[in-house]
Amino acid sequence: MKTESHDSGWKMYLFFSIVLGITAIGSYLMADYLWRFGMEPLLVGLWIVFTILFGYLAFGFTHAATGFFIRRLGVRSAGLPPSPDLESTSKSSRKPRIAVTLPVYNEPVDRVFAGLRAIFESTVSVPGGDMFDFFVLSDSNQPEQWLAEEAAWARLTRECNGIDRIFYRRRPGNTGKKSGNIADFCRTWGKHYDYMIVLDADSIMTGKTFLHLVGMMEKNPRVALIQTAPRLVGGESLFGRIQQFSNRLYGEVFMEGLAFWQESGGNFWGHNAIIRMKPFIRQCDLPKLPGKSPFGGHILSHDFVEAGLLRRVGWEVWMAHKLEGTYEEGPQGIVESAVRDRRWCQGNLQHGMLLFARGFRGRTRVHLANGILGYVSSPLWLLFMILSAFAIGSNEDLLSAAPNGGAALLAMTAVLLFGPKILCLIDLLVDRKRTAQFGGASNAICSVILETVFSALLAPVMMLFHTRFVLTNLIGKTVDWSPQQRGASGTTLDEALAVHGWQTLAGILVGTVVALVNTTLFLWLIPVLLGLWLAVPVSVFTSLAGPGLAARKEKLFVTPEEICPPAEVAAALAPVEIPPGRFRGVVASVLDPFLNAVHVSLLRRNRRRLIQGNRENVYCADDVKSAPSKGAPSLQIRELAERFLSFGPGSLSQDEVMSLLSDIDNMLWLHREAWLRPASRLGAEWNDAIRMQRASL
Amino acid sequence: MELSVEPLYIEPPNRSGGKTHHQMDFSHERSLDEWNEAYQRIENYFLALGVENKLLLSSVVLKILGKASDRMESEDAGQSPVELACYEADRLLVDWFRNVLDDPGSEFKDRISARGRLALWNVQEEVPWQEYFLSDEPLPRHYREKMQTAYLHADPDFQFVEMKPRPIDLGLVKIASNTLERMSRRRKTFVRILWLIGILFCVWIFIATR
Repeated sequence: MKTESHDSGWKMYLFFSIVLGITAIGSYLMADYLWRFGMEPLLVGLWIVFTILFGYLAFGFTHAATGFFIRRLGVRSAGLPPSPDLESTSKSSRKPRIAVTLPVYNEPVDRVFAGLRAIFESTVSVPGGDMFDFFVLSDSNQPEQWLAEEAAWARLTRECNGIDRIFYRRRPGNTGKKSGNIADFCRTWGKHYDYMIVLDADSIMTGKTFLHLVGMMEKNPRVALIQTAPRLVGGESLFGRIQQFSNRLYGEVFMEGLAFWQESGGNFWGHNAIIRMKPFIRQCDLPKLPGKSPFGGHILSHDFVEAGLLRRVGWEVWMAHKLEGTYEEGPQGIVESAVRDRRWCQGNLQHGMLLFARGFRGRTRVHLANGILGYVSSPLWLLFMILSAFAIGSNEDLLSAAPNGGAALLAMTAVLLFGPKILCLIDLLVDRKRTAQFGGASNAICSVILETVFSALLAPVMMLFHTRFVLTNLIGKTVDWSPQQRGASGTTLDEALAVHGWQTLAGILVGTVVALVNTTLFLWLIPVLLGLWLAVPVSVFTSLAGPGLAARKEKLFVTPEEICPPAEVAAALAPVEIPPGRFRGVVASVLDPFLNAVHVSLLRRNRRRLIQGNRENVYCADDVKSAPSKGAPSLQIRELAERFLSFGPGSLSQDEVMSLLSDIDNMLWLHREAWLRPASRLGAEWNDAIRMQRASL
Repeated sequence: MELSVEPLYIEPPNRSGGKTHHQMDFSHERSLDEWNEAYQRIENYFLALGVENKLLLSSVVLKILGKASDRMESEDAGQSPVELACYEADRLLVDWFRNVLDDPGSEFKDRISARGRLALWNVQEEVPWQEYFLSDEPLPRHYREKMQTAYLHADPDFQFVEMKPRPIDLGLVKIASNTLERMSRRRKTFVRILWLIGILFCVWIFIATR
């Protein structure tokens, strides 16, 4: 650690002074308005909740305003000094080794491997691409998924000449979830590498970006982690495309603001980032939190905490927000977005346990608090509305005096709410080249207006979702970390009714009661109620690919990546053609002579890994129990295998199939037996598959 | 590629005896359908292995069926033609793999078969293996070497390193959670406090909305 830190220190104080200043003004105006009606406990409660929410709004606004001024005034962007040019990185005498890790957990196999292929091909095409090895780290626990991954990996390595460059490892258990998966990689192969680039199943990064990141790490030995700002791509539905558009348009300005105050105290978002191996191995094996789930146990949102642990011992964490060539996909509908939020909510609320942990730096605490408030602000908003309704119920003047007494406050709130969007739009319109990439000025303006309307409709729906998630978490209900649904398959009416029905009912009920009691209040509440009344149709409509594509035709919500998609993005998102007449899934692992051999070879390698690892005290004893077994299969396994052959894979439960697939000698035996037995002693599924003849590899 | 035409010649069933070496026994116990099933099964297996040359395929299948037929006659083991043909195919494959991979016979046959299949899959593009597949003619040395070194590397060599969780002192939260834990142990007190909070909340709402 020889070089100077690039951290200037004062920026954070300036930034939060602005936030506090705005909050103080808003809070004063609110107090000034409320105290006119007496300092009653209800109004004090209302003022406290308002101040928190207003502070959170000010925090967001300040990001946009700071980002806007930095970009427009031509101030040097906050962040690491530019990386050495690509040529010097690739020609440097020191050749670091970099592992590109792709943790997967029951993700769509075709999409994962199409993405990996695009990334791999992009990497080998740049000078210095030979420094990178690729690892698919699977935690998949469904038989079809596991076997499809193995087949796709084997095909990819051969087709891309990636033997010895692209590797595959599947853990028999899912201990520690994603962070456990990465830790397992670090324990086994971490010593081989100087850096690790972590991807998500839907990440796309270019070889050039990899080289830039490596160059920045090489030049800045105090830095342990650099997070890129991935752009959303692949949106097909209206929802997906609106999210993509907002991310692309507003994201750049907000990221500039974020980079301004966080400097070396950056955050980790779990993927599309480069990590220095040594400090990560030393600092980032996460302990279990005391107590029971949802607050105790394994740390779910590991990324924030890992960044905090690195910062705790003096390493720097930066964000490379200007770096191009880093992408990810987003959810395609409100329902998928809510499912993802439910997982994130649990993870972020768990961070409450770490908020006051000793040794964490101030900026780490801000990141943790921001993550928590991102969800807790919803119940606070609901509470604010309930308290307001009670307050207005007890004193009707409170509402009628608002246009006069609260005008300044209303105006200020509107600025905080809509100001960031306007600033981002101005930032776009002053740059003609960039404006053209968003479909031209008029299309961009229309898109921002429509996006604002959609956000207004969506906000109360998400408020109720988040409130529910926060409350269910508080009473101790946990959620499974199911993989994200990708692709615009669309939300059906039944699904939408099941998910949003209670919200619409609540909206109708509250609307009716308020309309009967106080018509003025009802009119004030209409923007909120409208979102709830329309939740079902909006959810269905925006999840469909048709409206999304129609909007694209009209050049609405267009992004630069849509107009001119980078080669890697186009390759990763291209539909995968599945050749007809091939063995599939579990049947393939038995009948296909090659896939069976690949599967057995991987089982043997994994077994050796776990046994050797335990011998060196790296893994826990539990892992050995779940290691693929070897030697004569047990009587129980043989009975299962007999049933498997006689009645087909469908006659066994998923766990039973998994135990068959995990037994090395049994898989060899099954391959021989399935081909050897006459049709009369085989299940129909086997006979049908045998007639198809073609191998899947 | 040299192919023997001998196996391609099948004499018509001659139940009166005097069979040649490769003449199959379509005996009364084993129907023509069963032999047909055996033929199809072997053919399907080799198709799955990627043997696409029709001449080679027929030649290999008939060679195997001939051997199965011989075995059926000599052993009378009560096995079906499919089973016998598959045993023979398996035996031939394993022998060929042992030979190509230079295995002295130390590996179990299922494992050498799997290793052979993997090697075959790996070198398919580089080695014209079909020309030598299951034939007595030895695979040229450089091809053999390629097959012998053709492994599928699932991962680099292991270099284990210990990664231990670093303790995190939760500070205030730890104190609060310890307190709550102690309180939850005193269940009655905890429930009373909850009741008290509830009552105070109701009173506050009453006053606030009065």
